[in-house]
Amino acid sequence: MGWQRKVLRVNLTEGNIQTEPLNMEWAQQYLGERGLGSKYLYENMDPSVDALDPGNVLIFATGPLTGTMSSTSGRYAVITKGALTNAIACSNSGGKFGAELKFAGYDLLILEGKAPAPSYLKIYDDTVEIISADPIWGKSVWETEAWLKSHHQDPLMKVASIGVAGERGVRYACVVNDLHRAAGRSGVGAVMGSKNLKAIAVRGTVGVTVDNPKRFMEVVKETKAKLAASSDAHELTDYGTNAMIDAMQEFGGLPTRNFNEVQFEGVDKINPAAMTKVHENGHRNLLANKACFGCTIACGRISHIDKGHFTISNRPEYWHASGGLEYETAFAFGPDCGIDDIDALTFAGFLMNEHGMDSISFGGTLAAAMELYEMGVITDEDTDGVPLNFGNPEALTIMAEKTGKYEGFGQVIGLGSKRLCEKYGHPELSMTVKGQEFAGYDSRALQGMGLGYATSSRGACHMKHDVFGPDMEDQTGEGKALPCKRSQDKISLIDSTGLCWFTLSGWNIGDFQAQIDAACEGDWTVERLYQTGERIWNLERQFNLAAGLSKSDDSLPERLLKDPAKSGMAKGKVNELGRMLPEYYELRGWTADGVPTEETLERLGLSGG
Amino acid sequence: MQLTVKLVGTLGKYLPENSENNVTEINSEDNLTVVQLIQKLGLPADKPYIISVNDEVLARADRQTHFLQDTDNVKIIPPLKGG
Repeated sequence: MGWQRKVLRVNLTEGNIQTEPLNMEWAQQYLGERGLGSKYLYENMDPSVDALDPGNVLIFATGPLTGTMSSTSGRYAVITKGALTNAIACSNSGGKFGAELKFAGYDLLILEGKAPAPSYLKIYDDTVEIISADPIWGKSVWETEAWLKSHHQDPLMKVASIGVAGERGVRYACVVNDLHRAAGRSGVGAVMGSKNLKAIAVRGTVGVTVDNPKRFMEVVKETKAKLAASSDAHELTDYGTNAMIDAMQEFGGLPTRNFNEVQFEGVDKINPAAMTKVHENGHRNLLANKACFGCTIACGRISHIDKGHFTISNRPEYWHASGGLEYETAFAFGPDCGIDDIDALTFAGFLMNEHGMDSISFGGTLAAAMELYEMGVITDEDTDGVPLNFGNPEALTIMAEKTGKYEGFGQVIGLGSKRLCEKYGHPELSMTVKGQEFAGYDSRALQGMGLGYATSSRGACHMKHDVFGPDMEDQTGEGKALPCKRSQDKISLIDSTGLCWFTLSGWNIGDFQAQIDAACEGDWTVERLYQTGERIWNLERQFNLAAGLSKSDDSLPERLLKDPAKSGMAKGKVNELGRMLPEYYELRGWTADGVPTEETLERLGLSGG
Repeated sequence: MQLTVKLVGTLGKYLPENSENNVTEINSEDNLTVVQLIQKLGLPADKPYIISVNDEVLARADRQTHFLQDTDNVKIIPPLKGG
């Protein structure tokens, strides 16, 4: 058990709703969530179709530990072909929605086709309906969730929805659940919008069972105690992920002004100390921290904006508390755009959640547009008169709102930096891999991070590998391929459990193994888990190759390969991808062109499709 | 000898109370290694810190054998994690 053994399949074109047994052979091979969702995606669609074509398939996947007593068991993933990347996309989210979907009795929700008119899906255990979304089409995520709960008179309903950004095809639109948790990356919200699907509203009462309840309760108690004793986990609780900003600043890996620099002079105004600073008027940005379902870490931040700040002084609808700055949002709006106004950053973060957009990709795209503006390529005529110079907090907040509402130049910002830079004749200024914007780690300082970015199946992403340790040891590419490959396999597995990999702040892979082995049928050893992760990674590669991607997509922008870091501990260094990539391919059992060999496919049980 | 030590970000809680900008001056006996400095400051010993001396990263292998010099500028950065 662990699994519900049931899949909900909805064909939106035909309005057909059916359930089917979970393929347990696949569950034993791919576990759940990311892995199992990717397997179902690969088997249910032609990878070569356009991401916004009705032939694309959108899957919401829970893991076998989602909704259980395990710590951080609120995770689910949205798997599809990404609108931003045209590669396989797996966007992971927390909050409460994933556990509720599991409680309703489903491991996976598979959405096919395109609804003939705007619709939402209501799931109450076995009662599933496709309902007209006319009253909420054109509304924000926040308005949508409020309307659904009110209309159905159910405040306990859990909602995942898109804003106008998703409806109108902003390439990095995301799916937001529980108001401020998001399956954020790669444009999964734009895919949902292309299917005319506004929201999924869920209530579940079925519960979750596990294979060996007594053993499971024992290992959950042990692993929760381990997390509670971890000082690293405590730091996530106390400071949130934005604690990283001070470390990256000092290290010299904090991408600044579209990756032109690696340190930002305004970091003290947007770091965790700034979030807790009490100002003369008594205002303090950070109010509290918040946990997702079942989480005993609680890294989430809840903040509010100074009521006198220019962004909200006349807008009391934003005087409430909401999701505060996390590191990636702080980096993307702050250093990458050269902005040190914490209230502007917080407000733009609110707008991302309200309208359903990925903060990393929005910030990265705005940073590229700012560089083009300062070069004179983009002018005030293009930007609706808004000066897009680096450091301008009004440019950030105005463009966030315009993009969220798909108005004016916001439509261009909504293209993502790759398409935007191509439109203006400067593709080299797009800081992306496979069309997806980088996270807040400069790969001239963090070499293994660069290899991870280049080879990540969903495009530039910092959450698909963990090479921080080796990257801290030295600033060369030597010895980075193996830990990159090994950690990719490990995280592919963790992403398939239903748990959050921030638990690595206190756990090792053995702690995951103990919980999976107790919850799921079959003997789950650490070795088997690593092989499962490797199988998932190679399956994602197979999808991307079938989608038309190739070795040339495992690359980094020239800026990171040729322009040395100007300061910091990696001053003078560029990323050594050319040295790392061949070694990586060999370790993966791929050809020099990055294609899994038949021997590798055979070993992983992937041969013959 | 005198050292200038910066404890970055979350490590600031290990600084003396009168420290500013996460920096403190430390008077120490000669022949002090980085490992000994970490002990002296009361930092947990088992963490994979990034440590630089005069803005050059000090390799882990050298932390027990490299002796700090008078006026050295030492930065200790907490372990990096995803997020």
